[in-house]
Amino acid sequence: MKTIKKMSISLILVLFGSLLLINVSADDANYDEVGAWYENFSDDLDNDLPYSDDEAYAFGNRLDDFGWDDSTPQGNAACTSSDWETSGDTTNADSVDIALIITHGGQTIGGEILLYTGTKYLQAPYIEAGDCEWGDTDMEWAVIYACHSLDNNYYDAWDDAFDGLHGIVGFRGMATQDPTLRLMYYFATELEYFDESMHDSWEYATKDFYDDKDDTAIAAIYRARMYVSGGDPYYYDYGDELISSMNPDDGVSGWSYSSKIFSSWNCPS
Amino acid sequence: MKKQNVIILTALLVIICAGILVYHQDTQDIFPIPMGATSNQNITYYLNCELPNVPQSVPSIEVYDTPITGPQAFSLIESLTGEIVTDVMTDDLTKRHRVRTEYGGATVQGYNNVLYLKKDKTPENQEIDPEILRATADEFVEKVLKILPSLQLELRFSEIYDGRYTEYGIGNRTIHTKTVRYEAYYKGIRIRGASFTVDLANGKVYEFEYHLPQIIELDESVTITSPELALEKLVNEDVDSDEFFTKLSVSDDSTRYINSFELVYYYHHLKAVEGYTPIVTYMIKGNEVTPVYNQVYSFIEYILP
Repeated sequence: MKTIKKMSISLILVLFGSLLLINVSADDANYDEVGAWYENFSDDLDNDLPYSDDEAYAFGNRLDDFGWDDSTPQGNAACTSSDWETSGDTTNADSVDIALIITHGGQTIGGEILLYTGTKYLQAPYIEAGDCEWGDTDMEWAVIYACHSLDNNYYDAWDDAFDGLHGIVGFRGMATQDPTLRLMYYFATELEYFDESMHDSWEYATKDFYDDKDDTAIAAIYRARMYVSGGDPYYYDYGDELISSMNPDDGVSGWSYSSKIFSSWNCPS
Repeated sequence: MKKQNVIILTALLVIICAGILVYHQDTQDIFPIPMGATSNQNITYYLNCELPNVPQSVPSIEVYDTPITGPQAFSLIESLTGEIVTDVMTDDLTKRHRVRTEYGGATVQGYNNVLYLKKDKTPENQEIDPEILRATADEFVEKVLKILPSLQLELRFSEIYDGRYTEYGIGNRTIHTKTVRYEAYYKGIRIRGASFTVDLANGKVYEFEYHLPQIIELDESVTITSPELALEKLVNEDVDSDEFFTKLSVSDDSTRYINSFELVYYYHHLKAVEGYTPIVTYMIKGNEVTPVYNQVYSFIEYILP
């Protein structure tokens, strides 16, 4: 009898544990977590990014004003490619709802988009778009403040990264940092204070921050759309939302990814 | 001579001639920079434009944005768009207002800085004759300038280009708006960052953005060194770009083609709330090709005169 009781308790514990695992695999209970990673490249005098840390803190601090859970930004040696690339199906970046990375970026002859980590540019390891898989744990949005992060000829390099991910905001061409203004402050203010969608927040912020039309400042967004099959397809702008419990990869209510949309704009127009 | 050798030699000759022809076509307007082209970073420069004629000195100016209250921003957007305003919010820290209308929203920093965007990002756009687009935009600009505080700037038409577009897969592009752009000058010197752009969809004004500051001329002037000297500084990597921005990519071992070389006042509207003195600088723009990347990208550098 005692054995049966023990077995029953064990079974209940296993079932309970499984339920917890199922919940964790889609999204966690905290919908307002932000994480930031950055590189200053301070050992590389030709290619240093002196304001990356200021931008990372500006983003977290501003969202914190509105109740977001912001962990300390991980910078320089603490920012590694394994924080972003898939390893065991979970990464540090995928443990937050909105993840920001600020670094040098570029695309190579192979059509891959690379984001560099380390202290010296080109001598450092990199994050490769094709090796990323985001959203299966928690991430809804990736904010990539790096040159060519959404190059208009190679943005589909990120296709495999969409694993529950709503979208990516970044730049078609060159991105720049300003000595005194913080783009991420403006972006966070658009998101939370003015309560705009991701698309509108990124557009308002980048158009305000970049003040002269030039190919060096073309912002972009690559986002998912979902549709429900059966009858007339109905498209849902999943890729406009910051937070949504729906995950197309979980097959919620018959929704699935329909397509991904790439949009870009000059700054200013 | 064997027949095979004749064929090979002929083929080589054809390839060499084609190469010379292509090289000539690509470089007919490009001439090497006089003092030697390659910098320490292995950047090779080619000048593909005329150097500007510049005065010996230009006046220092101060720019400012005329402050605006929430209710004034409400009225301004209503009169500019003809839409019903539904909401106004103010970010006290940055002194910017968000004015929401039936169909869009605007960031109003002051009377001199307004960005109006529609909610719908994908309007249908028919192909319209550029002259008609220009006439429509001109009419709108005239209307706006009557509402703004009087400006000391000269506004010049600059260009028309694709504004908003989306792609569902690479290359499958739908254009939603065409942008008509105007740039601002003070006494013949362009104020970089001061512009008025009008986005048109289906031939009608859809969105717009203007950054046209108020100006006070100061009793000081800036002495201008020659563009030739600025060019020499560029090749010697003695640039001042870090004063203005830090770029998030690098360009070692690249080839750069200079397409634009001008003297400008450097203005940024987000810094003009309290008023500041724009820096006079040479602004050099063009394309660069690097072995790291697969295509031509743009570059920009600043050199103080």
